[in-house]
Amino acid sequence: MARRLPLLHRVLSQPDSARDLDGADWSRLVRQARTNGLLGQVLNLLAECRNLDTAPDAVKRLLSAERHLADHRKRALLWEADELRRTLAPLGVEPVLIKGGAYIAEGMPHAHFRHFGDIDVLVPPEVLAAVEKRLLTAGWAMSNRDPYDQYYYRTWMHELPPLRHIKRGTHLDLHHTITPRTSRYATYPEKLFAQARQATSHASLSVLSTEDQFLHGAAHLFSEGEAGNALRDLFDLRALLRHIDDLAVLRDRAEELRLQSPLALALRHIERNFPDPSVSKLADAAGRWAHGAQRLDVLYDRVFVIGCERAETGNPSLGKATEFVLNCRGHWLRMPVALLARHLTRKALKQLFSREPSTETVRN
Amino acid sequence: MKLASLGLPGLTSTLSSEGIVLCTGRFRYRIRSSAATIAPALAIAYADFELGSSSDWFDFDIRIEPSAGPRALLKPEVGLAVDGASPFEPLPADQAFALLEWGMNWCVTSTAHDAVNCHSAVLERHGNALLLPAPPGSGKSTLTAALAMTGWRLMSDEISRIDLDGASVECICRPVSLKNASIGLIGERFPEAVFTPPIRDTVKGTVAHLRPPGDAVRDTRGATPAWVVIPQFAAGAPVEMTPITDAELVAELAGNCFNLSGVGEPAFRALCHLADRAKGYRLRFGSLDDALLAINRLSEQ
Repeated sequence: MARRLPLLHRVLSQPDSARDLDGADWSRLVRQARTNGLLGQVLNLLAECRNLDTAPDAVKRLLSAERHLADHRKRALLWEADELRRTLAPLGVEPVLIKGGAYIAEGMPHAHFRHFGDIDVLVPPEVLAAVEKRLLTAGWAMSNRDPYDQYYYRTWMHELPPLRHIKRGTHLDLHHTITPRTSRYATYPEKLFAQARQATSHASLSVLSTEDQFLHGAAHLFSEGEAGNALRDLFDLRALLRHIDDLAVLRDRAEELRLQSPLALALRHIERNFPDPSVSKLADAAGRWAHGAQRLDVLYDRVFVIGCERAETGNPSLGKATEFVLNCRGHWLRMPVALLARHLTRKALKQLFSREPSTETVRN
Repeated sequence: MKLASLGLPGLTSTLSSEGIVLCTGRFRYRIRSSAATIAPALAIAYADFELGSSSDWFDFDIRIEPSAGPRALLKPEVGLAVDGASPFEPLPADQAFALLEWGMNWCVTSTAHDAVNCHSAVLERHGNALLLPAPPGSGKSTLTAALAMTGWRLMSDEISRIDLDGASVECICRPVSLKNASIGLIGERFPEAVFTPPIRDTVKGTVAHLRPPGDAVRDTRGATPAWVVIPQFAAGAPVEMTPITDAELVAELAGNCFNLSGVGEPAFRALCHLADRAKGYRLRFGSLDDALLAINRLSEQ
């Protein structure tokens, strides 16, 4: 049962016990944290318990770099969210911030250092068309005009194709629910809106209830087809969980939203990756509401350490097979088989005739 | 230990096993590669650089390896990985060293937001720093190479690292990247200049790297910003050095800044502080001799 966890997992679980790291340990930790998008978070945790004092100067400078990034990003995000609120106010629509933006608006300490590329908001399905129209007249444009992608998003997904502001370049994902319509984790958007509330630190902005934020995060993480941000997203869930006093409320809500399965997976893997002897209620809860979650250990025990293994070896192609399985699971959860077959055939044919670069091309 | 002391066979085998740790100013890069062109180019461009140990702290972990996959059968390619992630598309195998150099720049510009990183060369004389911020194609690297070969200490060719109080510029000396006609121009003018073999058909045309001359590698001290000169090469144009206002200087540096949105407001304040100290000029030139003369006259005022 006991897996040997990577250094990053151990330091994130118990930063106060990470004393006496040597030069090689710091190298390893920074690399693992960078690959998983958790550098700011882990260095800040270490600084809080004074375990960064003995680090090489370069590591201390990395924390100040992450602080600059985070301060600027936070300011930009809150500005953009407020702008969005003002843009939609004439329609009487209050956009609900979800994912990273919500954590920032809630003033959650872990979220301060979180990297994110776009803003995600949720609006009721019945006003979606009006909101889209309003945004298109306020400087937002579709960043993807491919007719099939447009059709695919609008017919089957939980969000519109990504929008991009023509002047500021900001990316916006406009959601009308939190999981694809055809997903096995499909839920009831009206129930989410019923419990949306003001954000803790920024009362002019709206967020989902803490339980719903957790369940959304879990449903998203455990239907995701890529491993890149998996550990970061799991760490987010662990931080959110600390703001939930009563696990029974969380469980009841999961039942109501039909998200018991992602809840069980989330609790199980938080416990498996960030074990904390002081918190045993989680292990108990995870055990009691297992929902067969343990059957996926083979897959997810790998998924949450792939980033660290890539950092360790410097080899980005490591774990491709695991990612392939993860991708298959993601698609399988997203839509029924017949529809999936149709969609994948379309995608494959399209890819055959146009090869688009997936990563940045060298400049400077 | 200096890189040259490994010898080419030693360097080649170290690169394909545990790798070397290359120290450039405050940044340490672990580099591993089995690509054929990497060791010979490193041996030329970085001969005088100190090596660190891979069992101690290093900032970036770089691997440059031949790509696998079906495309590699048609045309050999190399891929760059930094800390186990691939930030760029692979390039043709013969461009491996250029990819490494660009990757090393990217490492700094994408992570080191503890200081303002501008697209600018930095040279030093008597403790005073000269910054040459400019977009590609402005003659910046040619001018930098010529200044470095004529008594100025090379502190950086691509990135100026300005502290947040705007009072000092870091030394992160690395080879100068020369393109196209500049390679021959500098080579003919300075027969003692040492270059890596030219790489043809890159996105920037032909590229070769100049080994930092003289004391540049040994002396890693920072310097106080004194002059900011914005170069603009224009064939046949007479030399013209025009003072600019502080506001223009800040705007020019900001426009050439890699991490304005990485550092945020402190970056803007740092550039304003720098403008209080340094004088700004626009330099239009059609001949390298005239440009060198104008810059040297500036430093003697």
